[in-house]
Amino acid sequence: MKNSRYILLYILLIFAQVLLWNFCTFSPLLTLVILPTMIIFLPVNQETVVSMILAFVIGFCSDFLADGMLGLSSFALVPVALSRKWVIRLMFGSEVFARNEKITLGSGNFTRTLVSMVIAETIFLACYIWADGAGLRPAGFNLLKLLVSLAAGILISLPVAILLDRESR
Amino acid sequence: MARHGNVRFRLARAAIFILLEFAALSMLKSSSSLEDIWINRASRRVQALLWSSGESLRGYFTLGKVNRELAEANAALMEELETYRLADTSRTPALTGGSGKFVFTPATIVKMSRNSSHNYIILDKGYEDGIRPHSGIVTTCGAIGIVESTGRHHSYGLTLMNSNISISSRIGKSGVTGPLVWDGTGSRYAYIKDIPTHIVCQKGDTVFTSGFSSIFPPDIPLGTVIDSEIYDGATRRAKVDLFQEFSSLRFVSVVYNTDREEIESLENSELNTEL
Repeated sequence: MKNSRYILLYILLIFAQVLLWNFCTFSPLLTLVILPTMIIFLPVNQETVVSMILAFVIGFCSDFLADGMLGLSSFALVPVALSRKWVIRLMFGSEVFARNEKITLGSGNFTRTLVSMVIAETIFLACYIWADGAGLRPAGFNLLKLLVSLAAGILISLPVAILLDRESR
Repeated sequence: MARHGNVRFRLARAAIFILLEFAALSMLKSSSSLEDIWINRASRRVQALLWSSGESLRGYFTLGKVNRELAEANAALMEELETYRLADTSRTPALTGGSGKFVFTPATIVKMSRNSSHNYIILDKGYEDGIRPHSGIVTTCGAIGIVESTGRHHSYGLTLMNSNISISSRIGKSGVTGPLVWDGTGSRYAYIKDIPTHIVCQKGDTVFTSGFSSIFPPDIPLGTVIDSEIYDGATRRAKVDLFQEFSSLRFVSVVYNTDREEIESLENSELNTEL
């Protein structure tokens, strides 16, 4: 029952991402994403291979429904899934895997979770903006877009993190 | 065992990552022409890098063969050059040297000593390959030594870095001649001895083989004059910076004068007549 609610929440978040891409297009310098946070909040002991496949499917669904370039989100999200365990180990240590703990914003973990989200979002945006520009945009523009999108992305990812944190308890 | 399993698992994970990224890029390629061009360009770049790396690697492993081919081509060219030189000599005998017809055989150095005062060289060609004693050992950068004895498939020679060897040399194309001998220290310098004191040797003058010895053909460049001084009060000697770097030497040509026996028999008969 809890699992199905969790899956339903992920599906709803994919739709939320689709809405963000379809209706929140304020500036060419801004790309709002919540997908990397969704990947970071997958169960801690989830196998990397499974995470990568999930990331690919989530990216594909988002692109398909948002009428974007098919494959772009998958291309950027799979590296996030690949580096997920490394990021968690870096921020929380290896004990979280041994104790099968959950990533949470509470109990003094806020900063560490936030930094994990920033790393994941940066990896995603770096791949996404680079592939989206197809090597035509200047590096300065890409860097500015990455910084603006990162700041905005973290702000809108915080409610998503709170939602996923509450659901995982 | 667990370590092997771990490596296998990591490899599988990397393979799946590459597969998923490849699939994503394929979708991206077909969904936008701009991305299609970008991916094509990137893949061409990767292909070019792989091809050029492969070619470099192949080139590295075939260097030995290429060097052998170059040494053979070099020997053939030297022989051809010698033919032209001989033809030129027959027209203007008074101006140029030359004492016979030379045959060049490419050879590889099997062993070469550099750290004693009687250094020697062993080549991978012997009398079955046409190498004869008293043949010269040369490269395009200078004279290396003289073959002393030959076996079936190898020959033994003394190098210029040997105090018993001297090579008849000439400063400039038509300048003063004298024996070139090793300075006995490193592999870079040699001296031309027995130069009359009134002859002034200019710094930077090129030193060539004179061709008077019947071992080496004339006009092989040996080095440049860097200094000259009065030696023993009676003669002058010129210090020569050799072109040939002995430490990096591997391929040489053995040059044999086919008229040598005739020249030697003439010299011997003249000596007998005098006696």
